[in-house]
Amino acid sequence: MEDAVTRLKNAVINYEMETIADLAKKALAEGVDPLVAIEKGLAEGIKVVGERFGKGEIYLPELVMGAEAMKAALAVLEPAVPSGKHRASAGLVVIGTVQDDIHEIGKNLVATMLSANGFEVVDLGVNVASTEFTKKVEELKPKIVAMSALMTTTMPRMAEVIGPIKKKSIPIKALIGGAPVTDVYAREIGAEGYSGDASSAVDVAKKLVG
Amino acid sequence: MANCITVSCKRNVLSEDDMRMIHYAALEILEVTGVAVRSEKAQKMLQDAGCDVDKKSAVVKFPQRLVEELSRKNNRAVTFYGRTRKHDARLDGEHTYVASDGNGTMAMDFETRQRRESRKSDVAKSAFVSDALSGHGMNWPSVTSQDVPQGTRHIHDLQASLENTEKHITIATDTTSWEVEDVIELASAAVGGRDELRKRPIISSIHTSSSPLQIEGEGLEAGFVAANAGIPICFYVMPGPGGTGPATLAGSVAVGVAEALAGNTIFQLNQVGTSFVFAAGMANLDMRASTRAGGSPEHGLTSAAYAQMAHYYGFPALVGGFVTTSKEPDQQASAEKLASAIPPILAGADMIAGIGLLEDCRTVWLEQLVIDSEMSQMISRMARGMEVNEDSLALDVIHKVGVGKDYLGQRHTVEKFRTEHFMPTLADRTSWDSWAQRGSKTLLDRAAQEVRRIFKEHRVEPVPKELGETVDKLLKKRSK
Repeated sequence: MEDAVTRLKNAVINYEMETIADLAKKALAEGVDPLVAIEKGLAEGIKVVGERFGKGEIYLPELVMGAEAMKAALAVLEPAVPSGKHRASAGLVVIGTVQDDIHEIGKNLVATMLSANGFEVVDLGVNVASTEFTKKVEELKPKIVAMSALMTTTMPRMAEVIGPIKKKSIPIKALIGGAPVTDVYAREIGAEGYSGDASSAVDVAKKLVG
Repeated sequence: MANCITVSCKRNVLSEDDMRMIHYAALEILEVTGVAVRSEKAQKMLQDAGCDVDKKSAVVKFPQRLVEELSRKNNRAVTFYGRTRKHDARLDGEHTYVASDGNGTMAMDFETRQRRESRKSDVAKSAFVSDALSGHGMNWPSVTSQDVPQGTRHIHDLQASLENTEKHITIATDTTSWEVEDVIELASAAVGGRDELRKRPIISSIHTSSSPLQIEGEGLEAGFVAANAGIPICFYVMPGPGGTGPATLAGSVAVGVAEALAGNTIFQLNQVGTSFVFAAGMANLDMRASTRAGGSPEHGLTSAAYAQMAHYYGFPALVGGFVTTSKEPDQQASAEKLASAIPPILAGADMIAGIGLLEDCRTVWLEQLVIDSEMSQMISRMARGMEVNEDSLALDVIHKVGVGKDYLGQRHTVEKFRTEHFMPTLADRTSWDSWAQRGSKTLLDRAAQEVRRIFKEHRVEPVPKELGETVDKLLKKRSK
């Protein structure tokens, strides 16, 4: 029989988003180290899913289901991680859709892609106040702050976040995207990264932390 | 009559039964799940009219009776007036007006051949070129002015459009109440006052839902300002099958129709008789590239189905077509543009948005405007169909010419060929040799030549000088 960690890995690979939480609880009950369960189980599983997507073997809905499965298990395992310890990842990313903008899907896709590629992602949701972004950045000290805007009218909100961060010289890179956003605009407001679609956001993020 | 396509040869995507099922589905969505309406003003009107409003989530559940009753308030003629009368677009369900489209942020510079952010001059140039095109019936500014101060874009966009086209202008950069007020003031200056504008609204205003099933307050209340001034409302929904709508096309169309019916209910409660247009751009999410698959065959189908649903209730329809995700005016662009334009035009969509853009409605190429206009005329010929009667069967001529001769010198031929045959402006039908002899010009070369000809020869009726004064006044006010 498979051990608990392998079972978790396979549950992500098989998109068992409805039942994986029970597997995670069972693993903890069996005395599995939650950090091991995350790093050797979930992270390894999502890596396989991400690679399959990259090769074109699976499509977005499967990738999202894999990420959902991972999220469901993380909700059980992360609170069990002893304080002071933190899971290893490609880097912490704080992501959200800017203030006055409620468009969610692009931001969600980028979050999913990043987590499928080893990043730890904290999703602040939509209509995120600029001050909320800066507050979270100071609190969590992520490597990347990622922002999405779908309207020409909400794009300037991105500059509102980047400005204060730069002023405080916080060591962080900004990654921006969304339909009206351009690389020219990114340079204009001092964002280090710009991506035209969710798939290429991963490569940009890797470069930013590399 | 303005440049339009007469759709004699209708080809529907949905049957009567299909439409009734989508209608019932939309009513159920509105009653069971509801739509978040994030405007207290609208919530109050809806509550007073008998809707169930949850203040905390802003979700409004609509009784079927109310939605159906108010959907009937729009069953009447709507005209999108031009700045000059010859460009009035009557939206009667039998004609299609192809629009330029809409709010891109990039441009391919016609002179320097650089792809760069769009400027006010691009809004002007694309409007001017479009104005000259017979495959184009109304103007939605292709791009927005990215080179003007924040808070003045709507003023510059509309000024550049009004000065460079006589056709109707539908504008989407007015997303707040104060921007709409400016837009009304500008349009009034162009026609000689607010009363004139109410009689002949030469502009319409685009307001959107946020699929799935949300309507934001600011944009909605901006729409009220426009509607109260007699400006038609194009209510744009964009559920993308697989992303912001169900993967199935019928499910996404039902979500879109539900959003539009919610929008109409709100707008009619605000002001009975508001001209409300069902507008949609419903392209699926590409499950590999994670982008909107604008110009996909599904996009063509949803546009056609949505136009049919609009007509089911008696609303005019403005739907996507001539869309492509291609980066250049290439074969992919042509194929996708045709695939997304043919079904809605043959289904009788009143307006198609629209021509000129690449990269899923992001980057304008002036050459593409000309190429798409030609495609629009090709489809126009298909939509006109084939007349079968005594005259067109031409038995007399057939007997006269007899066996083995040709029809070229016949009076019947001379009389008929101009209307019976489509004559391309850009397509080159010559032989290889004569094409090579004249420089082996590509479609893009020929389109560029046509753009240059338009710049040289085309004229646009000047706007009253009051417009310039109003622009200056508003710019001063908004630059503070």
